[in-house]
Amino acid sequence: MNQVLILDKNLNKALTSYPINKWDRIIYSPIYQSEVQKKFCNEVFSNLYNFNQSIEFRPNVKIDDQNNTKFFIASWDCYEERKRFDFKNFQFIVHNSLIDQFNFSNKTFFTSFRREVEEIIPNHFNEAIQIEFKSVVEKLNSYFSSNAPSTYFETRNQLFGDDFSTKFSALLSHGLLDVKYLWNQVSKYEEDKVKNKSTYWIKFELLWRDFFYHSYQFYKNRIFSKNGHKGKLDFERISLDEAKIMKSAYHTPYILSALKELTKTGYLSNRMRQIFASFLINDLNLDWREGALLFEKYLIDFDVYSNQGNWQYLAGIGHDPLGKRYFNIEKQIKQYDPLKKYLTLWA
Amino acid sequence: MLIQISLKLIDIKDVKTLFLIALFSFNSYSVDFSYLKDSTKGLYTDVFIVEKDNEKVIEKYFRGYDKNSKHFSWSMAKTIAGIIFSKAVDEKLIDFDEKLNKYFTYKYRDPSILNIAQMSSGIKFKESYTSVPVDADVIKMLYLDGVKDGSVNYTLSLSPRKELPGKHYYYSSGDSNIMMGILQKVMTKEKYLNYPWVSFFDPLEIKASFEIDSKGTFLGSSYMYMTPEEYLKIGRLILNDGIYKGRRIISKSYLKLLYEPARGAHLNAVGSSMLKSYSMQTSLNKFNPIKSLPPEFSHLPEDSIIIIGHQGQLLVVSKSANLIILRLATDRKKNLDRNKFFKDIYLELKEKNLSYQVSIDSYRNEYDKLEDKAKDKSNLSRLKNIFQFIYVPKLIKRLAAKEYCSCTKVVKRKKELCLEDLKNSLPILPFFIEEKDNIISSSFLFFPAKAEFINEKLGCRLLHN
Repeated sequence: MNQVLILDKNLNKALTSYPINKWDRIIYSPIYQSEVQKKFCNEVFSNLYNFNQSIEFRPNVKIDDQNNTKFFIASWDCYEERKRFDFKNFQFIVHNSLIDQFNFSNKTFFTSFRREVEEIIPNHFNEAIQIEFKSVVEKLNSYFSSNAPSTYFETRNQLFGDDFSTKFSALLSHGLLDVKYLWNQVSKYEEDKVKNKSTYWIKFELLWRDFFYHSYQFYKNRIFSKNGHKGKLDFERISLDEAKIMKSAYHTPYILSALKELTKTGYLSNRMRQIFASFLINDLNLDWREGALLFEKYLIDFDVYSNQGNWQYLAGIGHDPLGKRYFNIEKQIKQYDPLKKYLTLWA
Repeated sequence: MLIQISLKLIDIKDVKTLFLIALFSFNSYSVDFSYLKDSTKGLYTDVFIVEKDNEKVIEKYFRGYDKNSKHFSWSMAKTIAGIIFSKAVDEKLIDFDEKLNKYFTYKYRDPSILNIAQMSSGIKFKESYTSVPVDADVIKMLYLDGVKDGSVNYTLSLSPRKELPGKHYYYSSGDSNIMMGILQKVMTKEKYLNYPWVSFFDPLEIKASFEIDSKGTFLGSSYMYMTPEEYLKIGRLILNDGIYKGRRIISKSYLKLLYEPARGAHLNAVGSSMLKSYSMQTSLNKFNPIKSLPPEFSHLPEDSIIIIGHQGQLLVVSKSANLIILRLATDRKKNLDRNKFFKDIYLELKEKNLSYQVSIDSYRNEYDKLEDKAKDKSNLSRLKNIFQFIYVPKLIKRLAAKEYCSCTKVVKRKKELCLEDLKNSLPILPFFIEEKDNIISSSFLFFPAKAEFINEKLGCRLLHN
């Protein structure tokens, strides 16, 4: 029987789980919805091509089912949702998470999750294997040789810049970078150089990522319901109307700038994402799922669990019991962009 | 007072007399049909009619039912709701090729509406009552979680099956209700709530009741009420190629779909009889060419349309034999051996020189092969038939309130008889069942479950408290 590996978003894990000569074919077949995402997928493929030249690149293509073929599908995003994988004989390769299994219940909040996890999580994972993809090596070297990790807590709320945040998110969401390996790198930095609140906070954010993943494992499809996983179920179909969002953002320069940055680079800073979401939910009174769809279309570091989880959090229906979050744009700007550099960059 | 009534009902004399009546009432037939009323096996037949060549050969009514009393349809509603849905397709409001995600968000799979109608949506909906009953999604949808969020939302919150849409068959009440939810999306609320009558029942001169859930979605999976004569009318409509009094009610294209087995059912029938053949919300009796398996019912014609309800309701229509079989019942367990039942009818009619061709005439060899296989598995299949009901008080309260409301208000049956029916399906009755201003509340002590009677057409629905 032929063994075919289909790569989508869990690249490192899939390529290191089995010996490479196991596969008769390896196909990189990502789904992208916009030009920025397409561009990034090309970049990812150049990394894969450097690693192994026999990998085929067939984006957004439906691959035909064949008899006598077993498909291994590497994907991280809601792996059951694979409309184009119409295979009889297939197996999924999942998990790019720190904790492989967690006993999530409907009473689990992040704090209790963190407390429980921190007791069992090691400083170094022995089993973390990382392929030396070009962009991963470069990124890791430049980040951990600088002082950036020791100032992460202070700089993470900036709106733009080079090293104000880790910017590992795109590598993580495509699975180029193994999250356990990254954890090891942070621990190593703590031992060799500095251990402070900032380095802890990098780990803290990685735990959030895992938290949303395990939340999905428990709530399943409910994370797509309008009222969140705990509220009344509502799966009414919504569609993304970009023109409407563009039009209503027209008179708010900061939101317009954010939209430009999002659609042109596929990236937004953490703070800007929150301001943008708050604007969409509170000022435009849009369904939060519409914003989530917008992000799904453009972000190059789109991760379905974190995306749904964070939008729910901003809409006040997530795991956080504090209710709706409102970000006053003027106040935020005064605090984070007093010289209006962000505005002059994008407007 | 209510406890007294229920105590009276298990009076030994009553049971004996019932049994005697049962024995005598079937006396006029050469075939022994008395098992149909054997309450020790949980069989309670209410109406039994066989119509051959447009004439009623058998016509019997029991347990206080008559020609004009409405009866619970349970899953028989699916087929009729499917026909009502097809009216909207004829009006070009919906297309069977459209995808579910045009109307609702279901992130895992995107079945076409045809897939949903053919019970192949790919949603993991637990239909069986056999394991822990509270675990069954059909119970949760109708009486527990589904009351709050609506049946469609409940179904869409479930995880997917590993089989893909269109490539399997899994009988699911959730799929039927999603169809009704899609219908709700394409028209105004007012039009929707009148649609079944305007498009289907009124032209057929049927005064049916069809109940809705808390979101106002018709519960096409379960709750329809009609008189025996009206069920027969639907049988005659199918027999007459969808034409009633010179007017076409079922379109030709839908009739074609109705008689054409779904490919999924022949490919991979999950969790049900391998022999199952299914089309649009209805069972068929067709040969399976993919697995070369004979039709499910050996003593029914091969072109039969078989409409089945969960308390033993049956409506069978066969064009080649010009035959309609109607059995309305309130069985406690799914204990009716349908194959034996159909065989008895076949023998009875043969005796009266009204013979017709059945599937065993053409596929005798295949049936023999199957019988050899079945002998090995006989013990296992018996275990599956244990029909336990529900241990959660909330469920008992809600089920009692809803079914008591429908029984007294829609079916208009006597209160004592309704209580008796309830007792057959529940391990214990709620201590209080009260009626006030068209609201039935039932409770053990506190926190009553409430069902509201809306009107004659829309019947009763559970209220979420």
